[in-house]
Amino acid sequence: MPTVSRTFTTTAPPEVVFDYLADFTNAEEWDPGTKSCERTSGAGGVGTTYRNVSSFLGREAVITYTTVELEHPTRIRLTGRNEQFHGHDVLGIRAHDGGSEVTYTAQFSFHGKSKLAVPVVAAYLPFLARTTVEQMRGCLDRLPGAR
Amino acid sequence: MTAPLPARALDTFLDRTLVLGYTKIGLNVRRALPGWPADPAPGALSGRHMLVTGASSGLGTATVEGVAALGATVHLVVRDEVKGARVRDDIASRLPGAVMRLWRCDVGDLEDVRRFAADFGSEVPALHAAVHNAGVMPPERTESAQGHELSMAVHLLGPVVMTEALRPVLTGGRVVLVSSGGMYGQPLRSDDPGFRRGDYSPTAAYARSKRMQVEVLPLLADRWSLDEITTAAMHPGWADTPGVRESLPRFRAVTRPLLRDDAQGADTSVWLSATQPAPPTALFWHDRRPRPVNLVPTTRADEAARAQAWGWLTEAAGLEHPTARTETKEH
Repeated sequence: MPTVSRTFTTTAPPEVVFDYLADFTNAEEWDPGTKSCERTSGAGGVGTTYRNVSSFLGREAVITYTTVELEHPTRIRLTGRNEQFHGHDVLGIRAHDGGSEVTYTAQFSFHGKSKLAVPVVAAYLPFLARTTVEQMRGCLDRLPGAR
Repeated sequence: MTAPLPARALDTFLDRTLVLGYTKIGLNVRRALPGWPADPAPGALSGRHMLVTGASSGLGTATVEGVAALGATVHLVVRDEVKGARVRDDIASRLPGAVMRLWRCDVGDLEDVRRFAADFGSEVPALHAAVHNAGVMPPERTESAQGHELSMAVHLLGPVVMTEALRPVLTGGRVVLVSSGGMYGQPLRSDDPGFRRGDYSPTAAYARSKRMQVEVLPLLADRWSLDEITTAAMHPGWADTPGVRESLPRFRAVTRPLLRDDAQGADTSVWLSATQPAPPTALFWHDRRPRPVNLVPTTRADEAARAQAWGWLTEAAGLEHPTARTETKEH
């Protein structure tokens, strides 16, 4: 099961980071792969669902994300699903030096024909992780409350 | 923490061969290598309060002695006060200036842990570090007062409940969970934290609880970082402790000449408590360096299993419900 995990620091404090990342519609800003992300049910708490359109290696995919854990202000976990894809996005947030240290972990598996993509995805992951983390950190550093 | 590349390579080699690294050979070689992290300065803990559970034997006693020698006021948390008093007096005879206080608490009984923490918090205004060292290896499957499997209760639930209750006095401090190299052999069993399925084995139950410690370590560290607490887990290597003598006599018979003494096993706990600046949080340590939490791919936990373990722990330890805080948060 391909997994990628990256840790970085931001000048935004944990509460600010948590509020921003817990609203998954903000993936439009911080995730280079997300083309659009809208809330389809729920008020932002556990059980909220999102319709996420991502482009991945030139293909577009619609993935339904569900918030499955929200632990203010340290932990956010979403699961993403469609017919071929099943993934977890986990964000761990801790206080660090006046700002925060954030660990972003993405884990996913493919089903059916998409299984063939696993080696390609695994090879592409380090690049994907780097661009995602750079963009996420940029967004967080610009939030109100960041130093 | 920087060491020359050949020294780092040798250190890693010792670690992965287990027998070389975990015995006293490993510690002695590492100590001689360039880049060995410096000992805490003399008096590094003077004026500070330290808490050590399981203080009346083995690694606990050695930890008490180690931090007392650095000037700490040490709170010995023990189940048996008579035995605890003997240990305290023993240490006092070797370290005449040491300031020690004895507390009674059964770490496996969460009610007793809460009682103890309330008493402690009302008397000690600032705690520098808590070393959760108390350990058990029940020969038969045993349940705690709250109905949890006992090794899980003593190694994980008790320490988590105690730390949560002590958060107000631990601000800016450190927490050390004493784990075990035995956890490398067990995967995370978040589906059966109570060891209700399959044949109970003392060593497997012990190692599972120690595996659970390191798997939830990052989540606990995040939670406690909000009070600027540094959280670490460590494994002592193979030491000739009373636990090993009672529970693993055959292991001891074979390995005895190579086993570490108590002070060697406690070295990293003492170092983590006293070194300045505070080490980075959420890491698993052995012989003063961060170590991987998996040596073989088959023990690697996925996110679903880790989430299940965390869900179980928040329930069993009665951690504040995740959403409760969000709802009452003021904007």
